[in-house]
Amino acid sequence: MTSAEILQLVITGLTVGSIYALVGLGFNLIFNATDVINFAQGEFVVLGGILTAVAVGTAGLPLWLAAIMAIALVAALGALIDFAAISRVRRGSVMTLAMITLGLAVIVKTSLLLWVGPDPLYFDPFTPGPPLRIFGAVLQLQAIWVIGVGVLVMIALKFFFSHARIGREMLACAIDREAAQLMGINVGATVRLSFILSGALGALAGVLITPLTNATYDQGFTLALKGFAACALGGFGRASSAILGGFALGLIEAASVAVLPSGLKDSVALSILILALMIRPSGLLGGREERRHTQAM
Amino acid sequence: MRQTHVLLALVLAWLVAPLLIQTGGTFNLFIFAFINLILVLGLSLLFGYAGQISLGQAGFYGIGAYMAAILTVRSGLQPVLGLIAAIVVPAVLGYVIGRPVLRLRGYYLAMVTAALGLILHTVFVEWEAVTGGYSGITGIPALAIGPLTARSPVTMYYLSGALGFLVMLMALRLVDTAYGRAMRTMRESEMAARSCGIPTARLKAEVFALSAGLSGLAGALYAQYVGFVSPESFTIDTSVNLLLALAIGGVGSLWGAAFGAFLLTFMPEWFHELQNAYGLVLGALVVVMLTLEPRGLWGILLRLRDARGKREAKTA
Amino acid sequence: MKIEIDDIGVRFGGLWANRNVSFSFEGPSITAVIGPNGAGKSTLFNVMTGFITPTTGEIRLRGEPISGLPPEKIAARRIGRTFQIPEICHEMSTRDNVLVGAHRQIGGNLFSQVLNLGASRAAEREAGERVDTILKDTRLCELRDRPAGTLPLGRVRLLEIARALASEPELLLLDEAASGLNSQESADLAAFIRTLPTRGISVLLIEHNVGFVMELASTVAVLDHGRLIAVGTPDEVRSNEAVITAYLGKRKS
Repeated sequence: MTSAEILQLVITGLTVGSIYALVGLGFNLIFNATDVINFAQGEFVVLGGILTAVAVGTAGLPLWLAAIMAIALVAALGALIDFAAISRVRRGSVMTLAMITLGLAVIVKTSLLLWVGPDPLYFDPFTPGPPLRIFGAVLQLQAIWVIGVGVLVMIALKFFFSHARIGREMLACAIDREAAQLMGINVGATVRLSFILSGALGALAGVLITPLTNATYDQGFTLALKGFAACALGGFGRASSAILGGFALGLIEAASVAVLPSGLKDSVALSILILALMIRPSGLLGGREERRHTQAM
Repeated sequence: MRQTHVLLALVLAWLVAPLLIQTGGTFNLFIFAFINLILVLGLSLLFGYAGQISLGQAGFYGIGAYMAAILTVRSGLQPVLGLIAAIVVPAVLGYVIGRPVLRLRGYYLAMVTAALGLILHTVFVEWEAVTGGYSGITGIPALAIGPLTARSPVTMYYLSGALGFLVMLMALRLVDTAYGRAMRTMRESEMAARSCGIPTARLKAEVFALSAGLSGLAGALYAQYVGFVSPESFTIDTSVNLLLALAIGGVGSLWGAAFGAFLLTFMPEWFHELQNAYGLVLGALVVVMLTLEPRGLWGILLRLRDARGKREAKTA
Repeated sequence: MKIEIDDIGVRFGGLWANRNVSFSFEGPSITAVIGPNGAGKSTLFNVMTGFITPTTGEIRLRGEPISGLPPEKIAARRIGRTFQIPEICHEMSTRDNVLVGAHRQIGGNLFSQVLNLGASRAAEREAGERVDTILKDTRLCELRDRPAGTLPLGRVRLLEIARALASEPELLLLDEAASGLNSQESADLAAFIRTLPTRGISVLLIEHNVGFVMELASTVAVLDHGRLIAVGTPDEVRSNEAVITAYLGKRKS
């Protein structure tokens, strides 16, 4: 393989990896606050892309406005999900909540099918212009946006969790919810916020990637699985592991396209997920296992 | 045993119903309802009773269907043998996969089984030489005894119904045996089960194999009746819908599973203006139901029964 | 029945939860392991029941090493246990919960049980009779058909003991069985435990309610900070300097 091909591979891998990392971060946020896996996480991404595409294509809004609106809407959807369903289920177990998110994912997906149909939607890249050529590899301008904005967001989140008071409170809830409550932290508000942030992150990912890959109503679940794979690779509970896992997954997937038929691309990512969990269930970097009561040692 | 009475009544109803059914379309629905019944019962035993979630049942469903198709169409085997292979192969595969995979719990297991289902679907699509790719396999010979063939709606109604009732009977019996008690204890506390000498790793794999075999049976019935198989019947949506149907009916109950299966089958009919998007209703039902009563419809029935019991105790 | 705990050490990360713990006891008898919170009692318990593999040392039952065996195999060697936080099946009836303890005795496999073949049917009936006797002994009879999740804590602890007894153990390991019980329930439980050695069942109690065990046990082992600091009769242990210091005197370290 030539160095140009390898570089191309790396570029592609980092681009999709950025998206997987964002999805994984969204998972982490909600998981940390509620111990629930949000099966609708992938739908947030698809919604972000499709809402923006519709706003630009049908309503003729400028891209930046459409994107902001889409992200805000999906963030609001996240809050609505928490308000309507998650915070109301008192008697249920964590599995019940997860199944509710699964039902929500199905609702979103079929609603999109009814609304925009099965064909992919599209809007123009943020900055028009031909792709750059770097050492023989092609770098789409949009890819720079994806990786750049993605990394910026990740840095911002890191900062948020370590320095902003709300961010530290969210972290406290993740470590021990009861203790956080006893310290006066409003757990309900934290949960609501994590859903809002998660929705925003997902929608942002959708907005970023649609100019490159188009948005179709049924991409959600596969995306969710890959975001989950990113978290699994790195280990649940830690934001940094979702990021590393996401990029790693993206690179592996890009590499696989070079040797395998493209129809198997998704299967590669999924096989990685399975292998990662089989070898080290708590993630390769070590993460927090599902909370369950343990005998006093 | 109240349950056996209910079952008997249903069997009687089922036996005489064809006298009342006019259209082939209705037979169609019932056939698919019985096929779905077998699928959801398998999932119920695995998830509702043994506590192992699976989002990959469509994979085993598909393997069963393709096995029945390939062995009869390509290898010229008798349909009956195709049916048996459709049960045995997924079951064995289920056990082999189950041993390592079921060490995982909760979401990890859900995601891994979903991933497995997706990978199997990719195999159905990409392995064209064997599976025929997107076009699938057509011309599946029907199971036949004399003039009765599996392709005829009435015959299939009785065949799938008989198998459906048989599986229901077996499942009802199973949960009351020591094996069933072991499953139910394992679901709530694997530690307690192991401390009673129950080999949980093996038990999980066995139940996984059982549900895989049942899914395979359903697949074979499907292949036999419809006459062709293609990947689009065995997608992640199929698996998700099975789980959602089970959740609506009641995860911890076989009767809930039965209800969920029938709901899953008849709902697309009631909402056929929405076509594929009846999923909207399914999803909405799940969200509403689980928010109100996590134990599903069965849980609501239980609540009514308890409320009635309390009222009677008060007036007594 | 003889248990030898031989130089057991358990290390988590940089911390030794158990260190050089050695003592032994024979049955039928009642033995107790006591110690302040964090002394390593539960760790030792989990080593004995197969939930933890020790870093060093060995536990032998009748001369045969059992440490490192998984819980199912320990149960097969006729060691039963209860849990500090009860692990029952809430939706099953009390009687069914206890029947689970007799799982090994019923045997058979999925097919023989579903089809109710002769051997399974006989084994199930015999186990049922035994369980009914146990329910009578533990006075859980009136509650036999109630879902186990509706029972109060005291009865749930008895239920766990009944379940362990259904497996016909030689040694019964009770993890903080008196915790959360009122004085009447404790007394009843103590009375019941006292009857077990007469039936050939040895008991090992983990307790931090010292008063509960001093009346019951013939041998008491005291752990502190993971180490064994005393072992002997209740009187010997009661007057042991190190024990008194461990419980009363908090050294600043």
